[in-house]
Amino acid sequence: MLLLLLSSKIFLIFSALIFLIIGVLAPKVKKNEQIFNVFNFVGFMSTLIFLFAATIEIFSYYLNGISVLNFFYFPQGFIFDGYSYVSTICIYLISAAVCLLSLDYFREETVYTNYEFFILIILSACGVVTLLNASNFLIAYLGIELQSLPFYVLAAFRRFNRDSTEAGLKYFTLGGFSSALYLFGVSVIYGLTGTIDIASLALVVEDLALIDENMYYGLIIGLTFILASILFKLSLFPFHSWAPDVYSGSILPVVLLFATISKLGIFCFLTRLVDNIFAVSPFYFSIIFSVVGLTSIAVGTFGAMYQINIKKLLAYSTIAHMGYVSLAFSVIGSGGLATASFYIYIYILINLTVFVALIALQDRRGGQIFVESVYDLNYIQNGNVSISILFAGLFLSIAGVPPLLGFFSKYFVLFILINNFMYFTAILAIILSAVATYYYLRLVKFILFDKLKEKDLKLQFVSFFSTYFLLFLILLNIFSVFFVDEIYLFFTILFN
Amino acid sequence: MLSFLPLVTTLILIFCPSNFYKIIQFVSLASSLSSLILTLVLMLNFSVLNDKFQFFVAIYTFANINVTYSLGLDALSVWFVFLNSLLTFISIFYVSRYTINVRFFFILLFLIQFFVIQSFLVTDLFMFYVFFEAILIPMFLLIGVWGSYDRNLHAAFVFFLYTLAGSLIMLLAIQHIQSEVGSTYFYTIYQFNFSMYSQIFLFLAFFIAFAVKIPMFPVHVWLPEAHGEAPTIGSMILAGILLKLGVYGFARILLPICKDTLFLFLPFVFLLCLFGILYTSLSTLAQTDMKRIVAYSSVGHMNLAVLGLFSGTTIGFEGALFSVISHGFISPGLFMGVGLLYDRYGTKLINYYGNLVSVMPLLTIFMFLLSLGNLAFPGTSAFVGEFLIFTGVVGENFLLFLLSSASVIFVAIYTFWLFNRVFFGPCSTDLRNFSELTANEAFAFVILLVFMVLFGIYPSLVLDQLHNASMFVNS
Repeated sequence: MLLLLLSSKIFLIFSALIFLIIGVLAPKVKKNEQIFNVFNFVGFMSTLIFLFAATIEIFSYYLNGISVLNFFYFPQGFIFDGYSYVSTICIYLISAAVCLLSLDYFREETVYTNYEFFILIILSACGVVTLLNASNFLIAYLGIELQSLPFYVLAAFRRFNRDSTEAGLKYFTLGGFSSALYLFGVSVIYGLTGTIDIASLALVVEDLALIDENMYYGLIIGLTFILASILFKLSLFPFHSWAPDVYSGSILPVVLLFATISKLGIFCFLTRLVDNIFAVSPFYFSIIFSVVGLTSIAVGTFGAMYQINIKKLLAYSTIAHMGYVSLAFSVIGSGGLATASFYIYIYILINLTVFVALIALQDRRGGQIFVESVYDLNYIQNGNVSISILFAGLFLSIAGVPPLLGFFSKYFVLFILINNFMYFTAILAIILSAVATYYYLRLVKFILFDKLKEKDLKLQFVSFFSTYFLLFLILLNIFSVFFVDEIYLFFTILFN
Repeated sequence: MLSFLPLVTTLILIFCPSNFYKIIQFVSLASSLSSLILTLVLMLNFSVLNDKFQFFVAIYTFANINVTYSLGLDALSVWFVFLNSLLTFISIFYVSRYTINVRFFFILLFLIQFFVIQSFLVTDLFMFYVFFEAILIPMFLLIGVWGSYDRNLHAAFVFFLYTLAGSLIMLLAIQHIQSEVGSTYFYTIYQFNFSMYSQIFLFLAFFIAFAVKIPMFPVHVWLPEAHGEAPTIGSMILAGILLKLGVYGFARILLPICKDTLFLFLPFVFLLCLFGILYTSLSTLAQTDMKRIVAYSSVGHMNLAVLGLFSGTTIGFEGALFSVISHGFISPGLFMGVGLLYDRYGTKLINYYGNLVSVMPLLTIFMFLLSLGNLAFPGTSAFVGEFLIFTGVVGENFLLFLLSSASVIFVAIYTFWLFNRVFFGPCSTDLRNFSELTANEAFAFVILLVFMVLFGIYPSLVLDQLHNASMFVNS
């Protein structure tokens, strides 16, 4: 049964290996004369592989007769529940889209068309979904590392580019450090309780009478170390500094991966910890989460204020958004988890749309011009008014202006804060969000208000797939507004 | 049906080809006309005696936060809805000639109309907030894209951020209400007894939010900026409808909820109003930009209306709402006049104008009548409103009445000062070529003037309904 439930991941690993073999055996011809283009082939096939894996995942639950609303725990260190099920499918679909988008992206930039790119994506996606189902600190570590190591390489993928190698090196050094923190925390916990299983730890925590004072503080220290590592991966305040540099050095499809699926996996693991173990001292962790949340929002807001590089700006915006997620965690109880996951899903949807739009827009005259700085957004006007309106709408949606989608996620976070009498936090968060609106408005200004500087530079959609995918995402954005209530209810059910 | 017509129009316009100007114009005109007719039909079927929401429609329910998106018309909102439909119709008339990127402009215009109608019609505080905020987006784009000077970016930002900062505080108050009452349906909130402290918190939060919108003294800075830089249509809608949302919010939300703690804040509110009235009336005299003068005069009038709202008397309350509605006819008219001059001569500075009466007699007549309306000349609708406000205030606080009635003189001074400089005096050499009003523009003026005079000589048309609303709020 476990094997069947893990089948989609096993399938992914095997297909990655097969692609490696294909890549090695493929005839080496000069790039221009290549008839059988390995890069395009592997890219296209890996899209199909991801779609197939999603199908397997959907059916694996039905084949086992598992209901999405229950959870299934395996002593080997795996847990399967509704939330991981939904997230797994989402991650497969996002990865499939990223594969196709990267084919578009690399159409012009042929220097870096190495087929390993897709194998790395497959491996990292596999790591993320392992993390989703981990109920054991070591399995989780396996997932984190399997996710992170390909990410380090992906960040440095433009290997002749100085920024890119710097990004990879920074990510690798700091990521390795955070993994060490994680392992240290796990070893402390193992030394004190003799277990690394989350469910067993939950039992220990439940019976607080059994815990003596030394063990209590030991547990808190261990968990704090683990939390620090998770905060690093989520790019939250004291450990956020890698995010802007890594984002700006990496190529857009890879940044899309960093911003969406990597956050989703770590987030899911964090919900398991919050749900089970952090009850050892709810007050302590509540304070940590609210302080981290507020400071992250502040850092994200002020960092993005006069940022010119659009990837860095999106990185700071991610930091601020993760701050809201952290605020939602600071509310003890399942309401906080549901709100946090609602928030992160809406964040992912909007960010996915922004990134797809950024990747899809290219200069039609052949030269490889992507939107790099915020001033480039100005050229969107040259293409079509509706595209610029679309961009303006997206940025306002991230800013959280009603009646757009981003408003509702923020609303629910503030609502549970108020409901739990955390007025002070709510007021600070709302003041910061008013400040944050400024820099999104600044982007709208670049897009719509400023006069055109270069008349002949025209950003347009070049690819069939990305155009229609973008259209689909926009419709999804719009229709989600009408079903906000159902979506929230869905997450509430998942977490009960 | 009425409320979703603008949205449908927006959708049609989105799929309209952008270069077929005639089609776009026809669709928008037909839509705004039919929504005006629908509003009139609704008003004919509207029963004065019923003080609950009429034509109640529930559309959608947010089960998790216990919010129902439902629409209903009552005595308080009915005239605002009418004002909105009328002004949109007039704007479409006016816009037809000169704008760049007409389709986008019309889309924004109908979005504004849609959001405004929704925020007047919704019966739920949360949905009110959503639409109240949503208006910012199209208005922001309107000022930013079609604004007149280089400062329009600054104006758009100031407009957006001031209003947003105000209403975010309101959001917290709404969430507080939600967690305390469990529902945000207006009548449920009215029946709930809030504790003293939460009433104080709610008062401050709602007061800041709506005071920014009205705008009252310390936060009025955005209004002259926004008006000065907005396109004419933007100014008309801003002055005619959006400012009314603040007054509507006071009457709909603040006064019924915070009944018990109102007395704590009354001196503070009165002081702010007084300051707003006198300060803006005087600062008009130092302005050189015609639009800014009209904008400052709007601030003065709206502050006078707030004075009436908070006077605690039925008569003052009625007068406030009445004067707000009458201001919705007069102020857009003045803005339209200034906008016409700007279109023809490309400047809004008074110095460049003079003796327009000899070249544009029709415009002079219209502007003269509107100026009379602006200074509340007997026979115009503004007179009725101001008279009622002062009658309400004088019984409450004589000193307040004395000081605020000084504004009547100031308004007369600056209105005629402006009118005199622009339309009389020595002929300016800059005005070489001229053209009298077109039929469309004259028609728009006539509509506004008809309503101004009609309400001036037969005010009970509006007052019957307002009386009902004010009885409810003050009981």
